[in-house]
Amino acid sequence: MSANDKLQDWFREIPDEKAPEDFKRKVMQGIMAEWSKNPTAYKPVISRKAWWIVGASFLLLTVILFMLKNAMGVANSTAETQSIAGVNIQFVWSFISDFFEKLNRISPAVGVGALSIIALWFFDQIYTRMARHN
Amino acid sequence: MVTNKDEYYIREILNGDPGSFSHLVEKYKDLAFHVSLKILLNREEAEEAAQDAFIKAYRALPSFKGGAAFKTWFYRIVYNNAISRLRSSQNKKDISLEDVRISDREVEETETALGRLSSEERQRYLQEALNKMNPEDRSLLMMFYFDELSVAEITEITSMTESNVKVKLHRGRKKLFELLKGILKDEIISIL
Repeated sequence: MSANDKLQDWFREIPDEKAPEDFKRKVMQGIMAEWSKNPTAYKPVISRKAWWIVGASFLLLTVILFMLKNAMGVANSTAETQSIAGVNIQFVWSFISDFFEKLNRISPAVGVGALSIIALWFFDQIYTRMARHN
Repeated sequence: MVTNKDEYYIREILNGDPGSFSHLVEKYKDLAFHVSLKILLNREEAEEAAQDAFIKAYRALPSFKGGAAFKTWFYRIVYNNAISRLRSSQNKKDISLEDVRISDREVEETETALGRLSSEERQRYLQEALNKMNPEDRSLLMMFYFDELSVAEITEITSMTESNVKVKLHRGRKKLFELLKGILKDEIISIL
């Protein structure tokens, strides 16, 4: 047996020091205090960035549809005969027209409700940001 | 080694569940305490240092690279934390490795004498000799012989070069035998 092995055996004879009984509780108290200083935020399945992209895309689509509707109004007389690259786009025009007609028919109560939900979400975002910065 | 369980709990903590840290505390509390104790040689200070090391590990967890061994990563935090505590307390009573004066023959003789002792006596003398050593050198010997870490792992923990670790281990071993020789000699004189 080499000197190294002997020394290893003798070191193995030294009893292992155990942490005190309440060690874990004290550490976890410290960890929870640390966590409460800077809590890790709940991570939603759809990230905030994704929501912004969805919102911006929806807004862009609405604007495009609105502009198309206006353009359709101007060219309404020839809409029935319009085609792009040989494809009749009358169906698209009628879809856009229907969409805005339905939008116009939405009751004011539903509109106010939708606006309230958006406003609530907006204030929630502002509050969350303020809470994180404090 | 990073077990799958370690990785799982680390992921849970990083996903916002601090309670999962208790599993890591349960698993590594004895390691943190005994490493701190071997460096600081004071139970109260060691307990504080070990608790402090866990808090530091919790804070640094986002920077932990999953591929590395969690045990080695955490060991490094515990070691550095205890060493910096010791340095701040400026305990300079320890014996440096620079003045090793023991021949290979004397090492052999001490080894033979130690081998003849009972396990309890050997433990006592070994502990006494270790406590007289410089904390950094003592912890190197403890890492290698007690915790059975490889030279590569010690290199990672202490940030020393591999050759430096090997040299320090060699000299630490000799210093330990020199101290043991002194202790055994004193014991024999006191018996006579």
